[in-house]
Amino acid sequence: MDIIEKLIEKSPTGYTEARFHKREKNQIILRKGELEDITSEIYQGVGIRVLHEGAWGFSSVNSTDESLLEEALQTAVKMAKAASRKKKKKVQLQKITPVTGKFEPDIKDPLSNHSLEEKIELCVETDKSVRSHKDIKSSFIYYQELVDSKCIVTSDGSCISLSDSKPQFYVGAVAGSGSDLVSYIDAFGTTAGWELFEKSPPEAMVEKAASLAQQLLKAKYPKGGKATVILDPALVGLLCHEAVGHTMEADIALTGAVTRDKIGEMVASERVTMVDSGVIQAGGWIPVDDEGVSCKDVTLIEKGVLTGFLHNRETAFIMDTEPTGNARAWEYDLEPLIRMRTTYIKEGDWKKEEIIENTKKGYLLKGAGSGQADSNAQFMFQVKEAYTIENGELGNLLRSVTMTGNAFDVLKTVDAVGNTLDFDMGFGGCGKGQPAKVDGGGPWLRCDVLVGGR
Amino acid sequence: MDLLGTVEDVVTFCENRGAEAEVSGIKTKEVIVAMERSDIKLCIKQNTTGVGIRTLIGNSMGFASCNSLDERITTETAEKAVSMSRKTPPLPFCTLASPGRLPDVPGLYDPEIQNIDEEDAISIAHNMITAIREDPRVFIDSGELSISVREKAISTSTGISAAEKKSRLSWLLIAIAREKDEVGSFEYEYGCTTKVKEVYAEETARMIAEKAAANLHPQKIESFSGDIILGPGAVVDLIVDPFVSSVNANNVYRGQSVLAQKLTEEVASDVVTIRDHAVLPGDFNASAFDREGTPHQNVTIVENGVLTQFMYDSLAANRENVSPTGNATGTVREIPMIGVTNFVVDETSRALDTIVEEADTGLLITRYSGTAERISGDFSGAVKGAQYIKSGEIQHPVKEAAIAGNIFEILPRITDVSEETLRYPKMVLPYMKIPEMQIIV
Repeated sequence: MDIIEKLIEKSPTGYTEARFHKREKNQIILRKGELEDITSEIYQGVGIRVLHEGAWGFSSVNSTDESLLEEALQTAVKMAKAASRKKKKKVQLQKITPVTGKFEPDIKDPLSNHSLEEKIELCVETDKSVRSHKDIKSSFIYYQELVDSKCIVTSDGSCISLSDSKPQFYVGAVAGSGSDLVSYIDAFGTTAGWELFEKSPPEAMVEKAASLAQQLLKAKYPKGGKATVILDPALVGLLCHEAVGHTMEADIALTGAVTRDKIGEMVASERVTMVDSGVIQAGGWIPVDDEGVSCKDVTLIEKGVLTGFLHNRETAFIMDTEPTGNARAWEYDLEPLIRMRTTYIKEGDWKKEEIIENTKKGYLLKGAGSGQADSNAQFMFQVKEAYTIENGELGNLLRSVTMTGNAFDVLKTVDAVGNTLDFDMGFGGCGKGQPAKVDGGGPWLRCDVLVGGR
Repeated sequence: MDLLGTVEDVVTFCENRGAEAEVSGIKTKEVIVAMERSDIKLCIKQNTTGVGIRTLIGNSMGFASCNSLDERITTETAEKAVSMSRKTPPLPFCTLASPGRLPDVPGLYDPEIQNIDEEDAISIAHNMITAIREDPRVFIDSGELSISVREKAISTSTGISAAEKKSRLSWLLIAIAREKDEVGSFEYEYGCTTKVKEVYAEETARMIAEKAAANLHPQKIESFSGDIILGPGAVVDLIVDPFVSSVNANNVYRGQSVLAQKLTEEVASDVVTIRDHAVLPGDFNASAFDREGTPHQNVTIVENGVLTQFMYDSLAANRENVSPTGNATGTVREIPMIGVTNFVVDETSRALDTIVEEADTGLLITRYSGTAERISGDFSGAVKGAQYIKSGEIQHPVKEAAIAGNIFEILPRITDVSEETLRYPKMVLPYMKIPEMQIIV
């Protein structure tokens, strides 16, 4: 910390930010009983970003040696000067209240308390358990932990140290034979220590993955077409993150996303209130961002009305509002970008069972697979489980189901919102030029979408 | 010390601790210009280094990596890898690669790159922005130009010792068109070269502007059955991942490939030839050796529709007592895995214009946004940047249409492959026509 503070004091430009980041990653992958991957990595260094005459320059170094840091600082300044000569619109930064202090999540059982052997044994036993099921041809077990230490110092007075711990665990089963193969992966990740496995016990994940792979093998494909659906918290989270959230990132909005001029407009049902939070200890937990800005909760949609964007200091200045603490960099040698954190819809007052009983015809959709969306809020998501609903009763399981639509058109059709809240998107990550750990969720809710089928 | 000397020293260290080792190292000097909202966003200059250390004691593997070539740090990392291989269960058939004669792959390094500085890089980026803005409706959402010199080296206890230096110039753009309140579907383009004088970034910018503008004012259509012409971007989104996964010999072994029993059989139409051409002289993706140090080669995977070869690393090759095909891939931060280096679908002599003219009713699809399941090949999703074709002419862009099916069922039904190709990271792909597809609205 002292070395970085001294570096900032020496900077010749208006704004300088230096971020020391040490990341320890451990990873184990088993496929069909064989250890495919066992990796331990330390990736560390200091990233330095400067603003000079309205343009950004960046450099980094894999050391905390003072002379190398000064060299990197001079390089960043040189880059900013070069960029400023061709940059049209000069960058200005919104003022902030500096943040100082030490930040860490509430961890009950640190990952470092558990040896490599224990982690390997967990994966090996889970793998054996998957393959002991009838009709299961192959298996996939994946454990990863990311443990971070950061120090961030800015010339505007922020000076923080932060630690983080984000494990994730996947259990996958493949059923079938020949050209008819079906896979199901159950995955969970969050900000936690080893207590991750209390919330999501491996035995339960094994049973879910194996039984669903077996069932999906025999399942039919859906017909396809517009339908009333009930979404689980995982799919609600994906809708919030992928279909809405990216259009609410101020850099994307400013480029021309459909949300750009819609603040104050009704974009969803009045039953929908959507928030992006850095405070909730889910997979997207960050208390202070990589610009040294405090991570306040941002209400994106309030009772159906679009209320706010996600900002860094640059976009906050452009839109004349407060920064929201959404500037995040994946590793030390990357610049911070506007990223989401934990994005969710707030709970309502229906019980899940009531929503199902109240639905005459449609589908119950569970489990978020991959998802993509455009800046015009058109989305397409893979659904892991889908069940028919007829006259309030659940029917058959269907396979290879997708849901598509325009996010805001879909949110306008929300007519029932559940009364419990869950987050189930903390595994994997978001890609936007660089990865980010995020999370999403909400209650069970009912809406209309286009269901993809064959 | 030079990079090769560093990785060789780490191998010796591991051997002195009782383990065999494969050590890969990297040194990169790069300048990156990031673009955003049709303006220069940020200029980056940095050097990065790293080693990846894989150790074996018997068949028990350990892997550790760090982002430094400093002796103290690489030694600590090597100790960790050796310690891991004392604790992990053995992986049958896991060995280090054997040395082989490396091919000569000329033209990978252009000394002119030493004369390029950040001012030149910013100038190229600025020219891309200017080219796109010739159409005031089109904006760069984001983009990046990267100019780098990359050195890699590998040394193993089995006697492999190799190093290579490459000049790499690449760029990517994401652009959208906006007119009044309407935002069109975004377009993505990529370009690359090893030669400074052959940078074609402005041409890429003009191409993407034209494509983004063509996505404005999409119109609704009715569901129909007709021809789909997949653009290279749609081939990436829809076909490549499940196909590559299915010809991965490790996935074949693990029961995760539908092509497992199909060697020497027709798996695609006879107009389709697919290679991993890793030794193309002067090519951006080319290299003399793979991630394990095995010599690269031109691997023909599908020839005129017939599946001729799976892709092997040394693990998969040992299992079947065959030679590896030089398909071990990955950065120094990860264990080698089977993958592609320069995935090419051979072009033909058929012009895209001719292919379109011969379509009665159909869609020309730029991108696909949906599922493409790796194992089963099932797909279902939305077509993006699609143009409606009627009586052999492009009529208008299309709003909201979806397709569904199975990749392995449509590969044999491809009737046409174009002479035009586009580059994507690690790929060179043409346009492909598939008749009698159901388009759902």
